[in-house]
Amino acid sequence: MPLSRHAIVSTLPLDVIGGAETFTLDAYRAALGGAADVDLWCAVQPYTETAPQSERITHRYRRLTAADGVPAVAEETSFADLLRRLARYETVVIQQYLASLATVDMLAAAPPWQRYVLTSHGAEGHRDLFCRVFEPHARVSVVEVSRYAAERSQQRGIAASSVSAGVWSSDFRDPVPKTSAGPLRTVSVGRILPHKCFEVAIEAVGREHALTIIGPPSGDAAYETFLADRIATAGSVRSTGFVDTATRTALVAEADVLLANSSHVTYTGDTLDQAELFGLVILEAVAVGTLPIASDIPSFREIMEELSLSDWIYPQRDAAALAALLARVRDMPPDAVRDRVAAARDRAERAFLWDTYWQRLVDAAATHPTASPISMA
Amino acid sequence: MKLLFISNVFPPQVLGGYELGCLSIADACQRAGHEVTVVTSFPSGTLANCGTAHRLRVLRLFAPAHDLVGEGWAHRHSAAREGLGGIVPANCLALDNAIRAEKPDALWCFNPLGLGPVGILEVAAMSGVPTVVHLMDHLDAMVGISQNGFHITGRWAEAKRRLAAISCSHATLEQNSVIGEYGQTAVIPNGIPLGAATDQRRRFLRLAGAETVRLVYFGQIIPDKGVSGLVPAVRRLRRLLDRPVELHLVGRCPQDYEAKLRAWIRSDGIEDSFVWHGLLDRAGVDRVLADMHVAVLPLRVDEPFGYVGLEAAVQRLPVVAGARAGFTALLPPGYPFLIDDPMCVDEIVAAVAAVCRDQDACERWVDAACTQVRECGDLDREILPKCIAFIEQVRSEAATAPAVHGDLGNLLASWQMTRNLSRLVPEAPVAAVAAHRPAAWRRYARTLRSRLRDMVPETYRLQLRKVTSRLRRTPRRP
Repeated sequence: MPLSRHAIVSTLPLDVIGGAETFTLDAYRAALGGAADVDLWCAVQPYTETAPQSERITHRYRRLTAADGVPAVAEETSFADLLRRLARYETVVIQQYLASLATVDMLAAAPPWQRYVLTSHGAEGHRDLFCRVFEPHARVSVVEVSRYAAERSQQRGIAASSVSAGVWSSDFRDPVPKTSAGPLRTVSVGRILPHKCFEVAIEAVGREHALTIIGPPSGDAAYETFLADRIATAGSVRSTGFVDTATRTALVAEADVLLANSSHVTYTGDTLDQAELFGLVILEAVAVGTLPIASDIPSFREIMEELSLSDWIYPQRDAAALAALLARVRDMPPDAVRDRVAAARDRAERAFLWDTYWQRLVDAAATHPTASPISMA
Repeated sequence: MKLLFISNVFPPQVLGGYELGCLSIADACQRAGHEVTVVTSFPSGTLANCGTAHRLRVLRLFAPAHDLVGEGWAHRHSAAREGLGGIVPANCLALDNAIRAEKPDALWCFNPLGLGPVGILEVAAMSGVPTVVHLMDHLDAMVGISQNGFHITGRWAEAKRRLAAISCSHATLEQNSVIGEYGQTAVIPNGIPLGAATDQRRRFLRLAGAETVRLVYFGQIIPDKGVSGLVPAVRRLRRLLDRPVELHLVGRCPQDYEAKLRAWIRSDGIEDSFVWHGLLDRAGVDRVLADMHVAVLPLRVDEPFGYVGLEAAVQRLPVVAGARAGFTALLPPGYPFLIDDPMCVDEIVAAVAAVCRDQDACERWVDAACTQVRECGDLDREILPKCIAFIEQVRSEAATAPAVHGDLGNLLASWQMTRNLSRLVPEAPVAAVAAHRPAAWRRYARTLRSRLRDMVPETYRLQLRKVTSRLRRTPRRP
């Protein structure tokens, strides 16, 4: 088959559902729309171990087709073969570049005229090693998913810019006033992981409002048990488990408020370096006319400020403050809430569209390399 | 035309015919009025001294890795691997500087192995100067087999795609199309400068009566060139021809191999049939050839060209050689003394016996071969003009081709990353692992096979045999 001009490579598998995987698949769709000539590759298995190169090249990679949003395997090959083939592309975008040492192998296998774009979604298992190994150069650009993520990269000593996206223009619905009689219908979306802090939402809604938790299990049995206990003793909280995209969108659209609760501090008191690099769910809520309320972590604040919704931010893990914001929503006229969401939607359309993502990514990569060029003879 | 030649080493230091070929073409270019500068590496004390570049401008700018070439550990020593199949940053910078300083009309790249061939070709591709790679060896095989600790065959293929190549034979071009293909190619056999050559033999030297049959082998005396088969061949020829047989060996022989050969000859009791001349200069070789009846040159199974065959043919010697060597394209069709398998003693014996049996027929073939080589293989008159015409064609097409926008910083940074990583996450030393863990050895063999999978089968088998035999010889760790 003829080779495409561009490639997107995820160093992690794309067969699990999460924000990072959704972002990668949407980036592929955006590239198809923008360049119409792109291949999508992903690792078959996650590999986080620090293996020598002779073992790394035996890992398996798959080429996917996902134009209609559903990933399907087109072919499978070894990483060694992929390295050989990657050299033919004009541009290679690596998603989750800090998750695997494969990133270094790919950069080393890149001809000097090839452009590489690196994006992280938070899986940073090899961050420190990568920073020690990385040599900045003019055709490698780090383009992160948010300004916050880009600042983190700068702090590690690697120049970065950011290009954000989270909604398709076709996803937008005209916001309508939602019924205000009775308790608020709140919804919280994400995999059942400690840093998502669903327990804060449960505590904030109390017995006054309804809460639907939408998200697949993560394998963190301790947190799942902890959360199940909280749900069992709460008033009107339910958990849907995994639902497909259409159902999730419908549930978010029906809700009055979306709660994005992520925090750097978990229910056990453990602290995380970063909870989220972006906040797709906030944009998805605005797109379907639902007001988002978000915790005060840098990535959420960045999006909320961009959407002019910074008054709907509450301090991390502060259930009382969240409850106060919910009370404020309940007391607002439905038209006023709708107007806030409509204004946010207009801003989202300007700043976070997938439809323009690929071109914005290419422009950012060209104007923000990790180093200046060295001229040739 | 202002030409910048690139060669891993350059006479008086040589590895083999590739470097001598580079010298003769550079000399011919100079004679034809072109301005030639050769960029090469510092002399290395371990290499053979052969040939001299009297009138050529030679810049010895490169850092070589070829001290290790041919040694048992070449494929496992990181510097050698980088030199043979990767990038040597100093050489990329040196070439870039040379191109800036010399401002040549074209780059003519000969053997880049040992210099970090991927980096050399990438610098050439990015320089904007029309570049022709002259293929006289299986570069893809060596680049492919040296990918250990790094894996940049994609870069090698992409650099090739942006460059043109002259191949000394169709088989050599095929062997160099295993990992990607060159953008433009031409098959032009190597030639020898006949105008300047000493021509001591005007006539075919007939075997008289019970005279000793004098065979000659000249060139590198190494097992790869089929030398091992000559010992049993001589033993059997002595019996078969029922007359004395001598084999004259001219060339450099590694000490350990010479000791092994001498012991073998001694154990067969045929020391009187072997005459060792050592390494001789051009005139010395011609003096030996003048007195010989047959040149026996099995050469490599996948010999790219085999200059020695051409030199023997032009000296009116019957040439018993492997039929797949590139030089045989310059022999008349049906030349009867070629053998299919240069490692097969039976075939060598049969071909030499055929030469001795029918001297009339032999003389006719020898004269025909000499005439044809003189007509078609004259470097100055036939071969160089074809090469120059091809380079002119590449130049004219390069003028309209889109520029390759690369960056030297990218080239070096991307390579440095893999070196940084290999220091932090090192490979287990293969030999040490192999000596102690048979399972690990088998795994390495499998990896090696998969690395060589795409190679032309003959080269694959040859390389695999070489590397695995080196591994077996590796002493166990105490």
